[in-house]
Amino acid sequence: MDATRIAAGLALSALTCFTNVLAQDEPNGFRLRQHQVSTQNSSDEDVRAEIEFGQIIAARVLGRIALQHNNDWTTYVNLIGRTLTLHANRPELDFHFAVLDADFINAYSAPGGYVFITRGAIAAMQDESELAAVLAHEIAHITEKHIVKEHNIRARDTSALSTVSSIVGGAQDSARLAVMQAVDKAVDMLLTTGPKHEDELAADETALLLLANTGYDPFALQRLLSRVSEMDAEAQTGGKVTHPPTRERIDRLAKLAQDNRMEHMRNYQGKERFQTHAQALPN
Amino acid sequence: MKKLAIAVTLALAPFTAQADDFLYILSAKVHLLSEPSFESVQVENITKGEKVVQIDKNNNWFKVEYNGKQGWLSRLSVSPHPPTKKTSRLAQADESLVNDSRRRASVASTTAAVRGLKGDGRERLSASIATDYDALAEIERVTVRDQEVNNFMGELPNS
Repeated sequence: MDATRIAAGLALSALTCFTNVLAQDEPNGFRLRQHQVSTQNSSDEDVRAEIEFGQIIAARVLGRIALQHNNDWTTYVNLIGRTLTLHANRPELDFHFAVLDADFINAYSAPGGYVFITRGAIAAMQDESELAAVLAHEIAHITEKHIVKEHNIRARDTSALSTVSSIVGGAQDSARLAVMQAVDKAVDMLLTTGPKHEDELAADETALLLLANTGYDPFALQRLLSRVSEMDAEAQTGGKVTHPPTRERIDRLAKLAQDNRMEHMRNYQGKERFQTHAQALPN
Repeated sequence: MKKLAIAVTLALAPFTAQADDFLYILSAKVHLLSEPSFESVQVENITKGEKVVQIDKNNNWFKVEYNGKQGWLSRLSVSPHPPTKKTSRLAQADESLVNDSRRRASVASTTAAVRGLKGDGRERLSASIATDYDALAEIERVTVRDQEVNNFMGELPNS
């Protein structure tokens, strides 16, 4: 599959992070775990397995969508990302942030701390808080361990997915195959089908809290979703693409802001700093 | 006397924090807030690793006590487990799949991750799965110094 086809495919499902999840209706909304602080502590080996699993997925993403080589932007997204992760709850992870050389609007994350955003997504933004909002959403998928839980990635387990690390050291073919099948599914989910509806909503909620916790404008995600939704509508004028609505997410974010008493918060938006860097990003 | 000791113990029980009642600060810096709201008054600053006593919970918020002061913390900031040090990747990867793949140093190569598979698995997985471990290594090499982050955060109100 060449880059053009990938781009076309992703354009159809563009906004995995922004819009797609709304196409699926799940009556129960958030998983219970969203409102819980985890009582299970991952072992060092579990975290290492998560990172190694994430590395394979990240390498696959990079094999499909090229890395944008731009030092200014690499540093900038890492500064924003690091600022956010200092206020998050996975201090055991080193997070890595990167821009992908693609025109379409999307963002991805892989377990272990790998976060990607496309150049097209950045082009749709107007200030730093909107970029922080998308990074926060992707960080949330990692801190909430959505993929890790989905595929039961642990260092030691009795399941076939035991030890990502032991694929390494002579595990049986069946175990290796199981891990790689899990990688296949995770990559397919990231690049094609998009995360689960409930995980997307959960990531929105955590992102909202993370933005407020860090000092960024918590309304940035709503603002960006609204703008992208309008862009989306324009794209539909061609009559070929039907994007799912974003209204539910926007409404949900508004309610969450109200529930967490953020209505009057007007934190940092960083328009000037963002625009300064935006000039250095190739079209 | 024994009855008195039991009575005293029972009377004090509600005020004695159990291990389960403790939470640890995971975020770099946290503001203890007077209400479960980011807009409320900051009661105290608490640093990473500090232990607080959980008193109550309200959705995304924990009511806690720290240094004799009560206040609220976002659920993102705390955990029942103390923060752990950074987990180094590849620490146990003598012949790891990842290292193997990196040694090939190929861009968009067929994944080395299928190595070791036999039969059907290898055939299925070797079907032109593009990977780029060089780009991954490039991303992992990017370092941002703490001082840079601190300077960068200076623009934000919560820094």
